[in-house]
Amino acid sequence: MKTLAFMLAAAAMLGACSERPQTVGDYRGKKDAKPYEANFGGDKAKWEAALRARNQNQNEYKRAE
Amino acid sequence: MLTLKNKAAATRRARLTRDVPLNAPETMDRRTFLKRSGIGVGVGAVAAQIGSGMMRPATAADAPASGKVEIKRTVCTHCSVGCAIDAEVRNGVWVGQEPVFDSPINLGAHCAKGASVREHGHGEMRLKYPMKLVDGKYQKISWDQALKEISEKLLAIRKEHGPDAVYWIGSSKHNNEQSYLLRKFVSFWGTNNCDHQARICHSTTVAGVANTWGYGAMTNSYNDMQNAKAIFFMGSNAAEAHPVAMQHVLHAKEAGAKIIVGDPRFTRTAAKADQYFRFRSGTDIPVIWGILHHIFKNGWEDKKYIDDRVYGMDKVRAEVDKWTPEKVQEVAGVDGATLLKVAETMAMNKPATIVWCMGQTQHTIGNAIVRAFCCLQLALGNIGKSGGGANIFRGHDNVQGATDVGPNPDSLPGYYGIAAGAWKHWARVWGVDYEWIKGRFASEAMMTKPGITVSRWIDGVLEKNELVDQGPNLKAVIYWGMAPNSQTRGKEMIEAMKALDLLMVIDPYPSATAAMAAMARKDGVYLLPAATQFETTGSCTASNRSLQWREKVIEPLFESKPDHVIMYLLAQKFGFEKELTKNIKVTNDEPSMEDTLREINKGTWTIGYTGQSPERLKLHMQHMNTFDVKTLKAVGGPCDGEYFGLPWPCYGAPELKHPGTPNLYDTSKHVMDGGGNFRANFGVERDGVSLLAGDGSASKDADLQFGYPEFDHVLLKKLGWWDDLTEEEKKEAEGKNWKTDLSGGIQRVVMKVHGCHPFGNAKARALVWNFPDGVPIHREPLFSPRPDMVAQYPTHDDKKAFWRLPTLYKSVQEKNKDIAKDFPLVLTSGRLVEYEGGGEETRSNPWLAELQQDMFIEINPKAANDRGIRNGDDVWVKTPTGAQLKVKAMVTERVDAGTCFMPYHFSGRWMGEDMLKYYPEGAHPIVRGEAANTGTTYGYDSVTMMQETKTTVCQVVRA
Amino acid sequence: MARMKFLCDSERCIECNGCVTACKNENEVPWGISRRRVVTLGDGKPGEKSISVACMHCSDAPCMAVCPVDCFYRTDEGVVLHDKDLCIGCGYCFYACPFGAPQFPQAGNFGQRGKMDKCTFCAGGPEKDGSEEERKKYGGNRLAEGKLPLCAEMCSTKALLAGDADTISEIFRERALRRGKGGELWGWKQAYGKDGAPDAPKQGGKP
Ligand code: SF4
Repeated sequence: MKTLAFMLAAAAMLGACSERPQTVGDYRGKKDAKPYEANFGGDKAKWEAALRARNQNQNEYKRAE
Repeated sequence: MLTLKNKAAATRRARLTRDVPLNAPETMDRRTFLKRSGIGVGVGAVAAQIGSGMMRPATAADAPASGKVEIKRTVCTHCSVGCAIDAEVRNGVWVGQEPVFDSPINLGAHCAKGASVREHGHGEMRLKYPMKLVDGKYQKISWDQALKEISEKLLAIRKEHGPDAVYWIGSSKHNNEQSYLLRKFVSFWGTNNCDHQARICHSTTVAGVANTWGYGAMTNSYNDMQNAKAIFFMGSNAAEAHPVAMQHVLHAKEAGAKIIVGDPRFTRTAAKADQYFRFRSGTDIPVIWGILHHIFKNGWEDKKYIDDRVYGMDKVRAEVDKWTPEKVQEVAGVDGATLLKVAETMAMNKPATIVWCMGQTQHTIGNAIVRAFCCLQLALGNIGKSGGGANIFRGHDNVQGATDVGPNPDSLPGYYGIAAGAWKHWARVWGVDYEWIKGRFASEAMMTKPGITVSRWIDGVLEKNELVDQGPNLKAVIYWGMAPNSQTRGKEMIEAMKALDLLMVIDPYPSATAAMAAMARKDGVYLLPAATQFETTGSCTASNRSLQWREKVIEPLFESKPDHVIMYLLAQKFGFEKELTKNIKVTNDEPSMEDTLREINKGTWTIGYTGQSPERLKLHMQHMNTFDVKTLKAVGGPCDGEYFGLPWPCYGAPELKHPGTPNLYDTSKHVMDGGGNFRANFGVERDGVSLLAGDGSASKDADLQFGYPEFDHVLLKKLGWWDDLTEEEKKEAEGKNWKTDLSGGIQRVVMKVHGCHPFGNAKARALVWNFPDGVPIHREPLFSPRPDMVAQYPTHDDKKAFWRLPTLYKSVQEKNKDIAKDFPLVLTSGRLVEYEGGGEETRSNPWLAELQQDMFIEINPKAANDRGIRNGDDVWVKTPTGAQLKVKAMVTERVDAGTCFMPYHFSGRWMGEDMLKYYPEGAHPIVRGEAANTGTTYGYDSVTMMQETKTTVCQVVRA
Repeated sequence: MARMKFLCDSERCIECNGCVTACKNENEVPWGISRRRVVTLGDGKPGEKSISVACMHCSDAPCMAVCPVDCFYRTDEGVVLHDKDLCIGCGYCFYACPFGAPQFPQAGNFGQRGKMDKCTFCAGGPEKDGSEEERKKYGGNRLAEGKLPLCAEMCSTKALLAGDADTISEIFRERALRRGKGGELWGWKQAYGKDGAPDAPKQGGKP
């Protein structure tokens, strides 16, 4: 299956034309969970707030003028 | 469709290549260079050594995802910045490392070394069990056998030759408690023959600075540099050696501070500077006097400050007058306009601070260079001020602490010295009989005579016996957490190793010592595996004098044991374990680190290591977030008003609640708020001139608003303050001074009741009359590329018995006057960010080792072209000792055409040969290279025996 | 909606490689693979500048566009990830990527290319978040723990910033204003397009 895909791709390259349009986004792999599911109970707002707060650690002006 | 996208991608790539010449030949950065040159070492070969795979499961197997994760707070062991680390431990395995954003010192940040310390938790390239050299090969033995054989041999040597025949090299990576115990241990063995890393990194600083204004340490802090308006680095490459310090420096720069860098090499720190100037290696004094010349000429000095707080500036001025811009140009190669700009920047942007490291200290005139730099700050009135000070960056994580309380050949803990009084003071603290200690020594004379220094132990072995200022030559050497490749004259060290009866290494890694010893000998070498600082607990002192407490992250790996356990086990064999741990609880052969710190607290009054009880330190570690980043002061919370890590001096007993001293000698604060003034340590008068501070110049709200001497029972009584002592305190304080009164009463009354400084209030000394050059003067290095300069600025006369050894100056310089004919290039050395010290530990860490796979020498394109050398070529670096090192040439303008630079972190190759076969199997560093110091030459500071590494000579030829 | 980005402030980067080893540490990246590198321009000469480079998590990612097996995906937060089970190690993404981010570990003894490996913005991959499986294949998943990439969190001088584009641009803007000139935002436009670019003040005179 993978080999086949590769051969197709290779053929496409060589032939400078494509059977299958390569549009961005038609991901064919395993589905990934949302990052806020495992530890934030699916609460996206809470997760985003946590990240925003965390981000301020990269700003030392928050602790020293 | 695809082609179209392909084209788009290709265009992007082309554009990028134009903007950023990643592969353009003209910009060869060090990384690219090493990557390319490293192909030889073989990524494959190394991968095979360390195991490969898609993702290395390393810790996963031992740490089932189920267990609870515990957080252990520790401190990076790779430099003196003292960056805090949170280690995540699951089922005893170190599974994660998190930044400690709360730390006021590093705010979560790390350099390459600190960001990789978790590797210690599963590193394989360790010394795993005790080993013994048998027939040229290391064999595994048991702890019992090792301790038995070692102790029997050492005792036999002691019996036959006396205690001074054994040399103990301690570690700047031991924590405070271990360092302290080791000094005590060596004392009970009966010798002053002990030393550690500080000798060869900042001994000249410690002696020079202490003699100038009182204490031999960084006056302010990394954090306080945020308050500076100008920062002047000379002989410091902080961007590589103290990377996290640069967070504070660059923050200050954003706030408008001017950054100046003076260095023979265009360092990464220089790349961040507003002003950079190059000067000839070793001519720091002419440069500094050249700057002062402009300051005096323009009247930019702080006259009132000099009048009130400085002694002998007129003598300095007389010397400075000689250093006209023309003369400086001739000697140092820097023009007057450049130095005028530096002078102006320093004078117009106050407070201004200075930073120096080994670029200034490691010279035969190191003690004078650092004092000259101090004079610049004294003239500008910058010492004792926030944002000013002398920010001397120390090297190892606990080199400051080991200097303060550890194995020094000329002092007991706390700089008490080794005169009889000092011994009596410590005997009282230790609870052992002074006479018993005396009986352990060869004689009373040997008890009060400074020992041999680590820089010279090889001469202690090889020098003719009648010239050695002690009974025997050295017969046994113990390398207890120190790298041999950090000492100069490596080629001669091999000869010394051959001549020993016994060589013992105690270290988490076999270290270069093991490999060198196996190359030199067939037997008589033992290796004992020590635990790392992540496998034990205790305090360490960062460069800014703050103490931090480390929690134990994991149990010692393999068969290793913490250093203090090994000390105890050896003491047992020698029969003084009871004396060693009289006040210290011992559990399973492990002396309590808390009790040890309490004993340090009990005795170390001189430098205020008395207030930092384990309880207070632990509280600080838990409440890091409450400390202000710019002042290090806690605002509210349980540590309210205290400074982070109780930076020493933290006077009085812990109950006095002294907050620690963030900036030394700062008169704008009350002494109970960390204020102070210069120390009265050199009498009250000299040649009719008062050495005490001027009227009105005293710490805030002190009862005595003028200069005064240090306090003792007599002065207390004279002032009528005696009755401020409690009856208990009086009993102890009678006949004592502020340093020896174990009740702490004198310090309490002087500070708390009267707001004065226990060590008195004097002037700083621009003229240090007890040193060979009271006013710093320039002297050429022993191996100088300039015979004309040698004639004008000759070195010192030879010395006979200096730290127990004859020490040569003039005779070496004379003999090598024309050395430049054969060795025309100046050779200097320094740090790389990825490695630490001798480097065996960091070169055994694959995450770091991968980044620097080859030892190299930096050489200017002109010098390279003249020699037919191309970038990446193998070259031989030849030095006057007859050594030749095979390294890669890195052709770069970082150095000028007359100078070469080598990093000193490499070892494991010896004059062209790979030493792999000499390491114990499976315990060699991943990356091996020639040690720079295999080729370095003779030369020692005239006060401290610091080695000269920063200015010697070499020749480079194509291999 | 958070949009995750990296930003390296070349005025602050001192080439200490903390980011590189932090990445090794967090993701257990094997010898020979560097998800992040520090590149120095003008090494050893006045004007020397360094920047830390990894996958830029491009908005219009060339790797994604050229992948013959479509193993890439972009998360809602703009992180470009891929499925190693699908990856065939062809190396086309490496060719397409302007930053040289994709890496190929050696697999087996014949030097064949293994599956592509690259920076995940510490967001793991398409396996159960925080699982051993995810860790082995992709490394840590800090985002799911409410943390940001370790390289940036540990940066010695806080030169390397990572997080929501708006937040980090704000942090950077504050600094840039203080020093009165912008650091070169290397690759910013390339990776992120105009949208989200911080309007750094004009480049001032550099000594
Ligand atoms: S080596 Fe020094 S600067 Fe680097 S992380 Fe450790 S303590 Fe901090």
